Amino acid sequence: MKSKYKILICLVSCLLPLAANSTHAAKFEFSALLNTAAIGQFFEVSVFLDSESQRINAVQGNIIFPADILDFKEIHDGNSVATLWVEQPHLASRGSIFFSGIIPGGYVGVKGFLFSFVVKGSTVTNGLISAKDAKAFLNDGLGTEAKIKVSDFSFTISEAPIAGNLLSPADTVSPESFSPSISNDQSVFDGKWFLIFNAQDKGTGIDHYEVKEGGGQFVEAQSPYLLKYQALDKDIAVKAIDRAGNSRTSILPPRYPQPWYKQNLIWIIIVLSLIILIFFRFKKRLV
Amino acid sequence: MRKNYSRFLFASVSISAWAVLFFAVPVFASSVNISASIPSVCGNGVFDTGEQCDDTALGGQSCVSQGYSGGTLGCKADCTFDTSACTVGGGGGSGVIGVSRGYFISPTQVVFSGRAYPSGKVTLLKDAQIAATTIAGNDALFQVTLSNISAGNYIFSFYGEDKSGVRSSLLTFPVSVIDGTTTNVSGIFIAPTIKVDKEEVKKGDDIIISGQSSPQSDIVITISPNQKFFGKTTSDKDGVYSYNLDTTMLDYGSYSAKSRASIGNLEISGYGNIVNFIVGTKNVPAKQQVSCSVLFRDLNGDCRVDLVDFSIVAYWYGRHAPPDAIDLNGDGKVTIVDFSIIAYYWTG
Repeated sequence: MKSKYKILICLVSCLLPLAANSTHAAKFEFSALLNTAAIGQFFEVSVFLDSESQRINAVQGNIIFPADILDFKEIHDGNSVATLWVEQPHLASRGSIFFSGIIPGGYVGVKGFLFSFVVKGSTVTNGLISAKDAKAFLNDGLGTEAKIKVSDFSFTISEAPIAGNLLSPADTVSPESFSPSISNDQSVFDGKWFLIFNAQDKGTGIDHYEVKEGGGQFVEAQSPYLLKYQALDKDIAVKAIDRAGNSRTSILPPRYPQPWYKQNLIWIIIVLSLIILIFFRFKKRLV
Repeated sequence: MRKNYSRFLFASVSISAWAVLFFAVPVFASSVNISASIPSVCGNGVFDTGEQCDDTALGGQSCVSQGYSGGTLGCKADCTFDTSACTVGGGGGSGVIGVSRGYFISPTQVVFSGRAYPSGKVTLLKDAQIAATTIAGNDALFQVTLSNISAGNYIFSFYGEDKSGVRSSLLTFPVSVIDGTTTNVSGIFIAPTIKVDKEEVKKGDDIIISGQSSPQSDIVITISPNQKFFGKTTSDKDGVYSYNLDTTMLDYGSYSAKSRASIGNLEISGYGNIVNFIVGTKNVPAKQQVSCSVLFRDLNGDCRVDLVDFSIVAYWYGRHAPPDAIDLNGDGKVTIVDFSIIAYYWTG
């Protein structure tokens, strides 16, 4: 009898730490309006972080879905708790969405929205969406990896039509105003000036950025962006475009504006004015 | 007449041209206003500040109170109302009920209030960017209003700076902002600042642990490892606290200390930053001036950890042989771990 108690005590002693650990494992979860969609019907699956009372400041992972069942359409990451993306959620390979981002100061909560993705079923069947190599990090200044749990998401693609809209409302709101800045550092772009920008969008999320220096054309860009005009004497316009096509542009004035005598426009005006003056004087003499 | 005409024309052209030059200066729209915070946790089933609802907790609201004629009000995953099952009109009504919501539209704003340090600087971050700063009153209370804000989910953060220029830890929490609604976030309690007078203390001597908090607060100081030792003291009228730790009971080795404050067991702050010290064989005073790069992992030396530092690390993400200063965990590459370290020291 005593030995039975000893075994029981040993078992409890061994299992207790496991139980304690399991209560502090950050969890990646999925959610959708319905677990069932009709074949060919688009539906949206959201990815959430449950911090399990820990303060989590960085997340990374791959969301895996059966590409032979689900056709991928798009990703929405507006309203994400991950305010800065190291790698914005993107389709890294067929059936795999990679994401990597941080939450400065950390997040504590049970349903922190990370991003969502839209797919449609191509075959009548059941399937599973999961996460692979998922990681979360504690906000401790050391980059300590938190224990992780993943709750898989099971879905059904049915032949029968499913009533209702399984997608988010349309996004008609522009990204929020933002302030680009320029900086330089010996370790980046060989010490040359570069541009930094980051905008937030509370709808579908930022799709991409475009930069225009001086009178040039907008070109697609990523932050940090090496400036073409290192003299910093041109206006710089940065356009943030969300996934629904809404955009917002911020303009950065030249840090070192050209003196007036170096600006071609001023000389053109002066010359034009002189020509007009000379023209009328000459015309008067002819008359 | 012609002479006058030509002069007038010349003057017009010139004035127009110069007007174009001087008035067509780009206008910068970087709008930043005022700010503040409280922890509301979406998804915990509890109706918190900043939420319209949480799971089945609807805050006493119904479809009717939302301007519909009937139906079942639900709650979405982002803690906003789900009115998809609400009904409009009914019984021959026209769409009048739906319009009534428009009568109550007010500015979308968030009002934050809480405690920091007497006359201390308080900084508010919105989605990791500085949105506003303010100075707390002599009683350490502060209030900030963030207006001109869109509806949506935000991550707000606060930190304080005491009279010595020591920064607090970052207090971060999510808030769901609702269109046309003023969201009040109260009860923010910024953790105390902390510093030690020695980086190494001779075993048996005292080490002074001090900092600033709200006036007349109960301060609890926890010494790690093992968190077995708790020191208690009270801040004075200026919020300053000081605790003499007798190291007789500590073994030789490395320790860390952190502190938190409470007022009447009703308002409790979280633990603040950690300071380290060694119990050894000699006394070594703490450095008065420690570079920001050492203290805060500030990479560009501006004593802030912000988007510039993030960008510097991001530049080296996936590249070979990053400089030592950028490879923060010293594993020879820049990974998400380095970004996690940056996120901890973030100041915006």
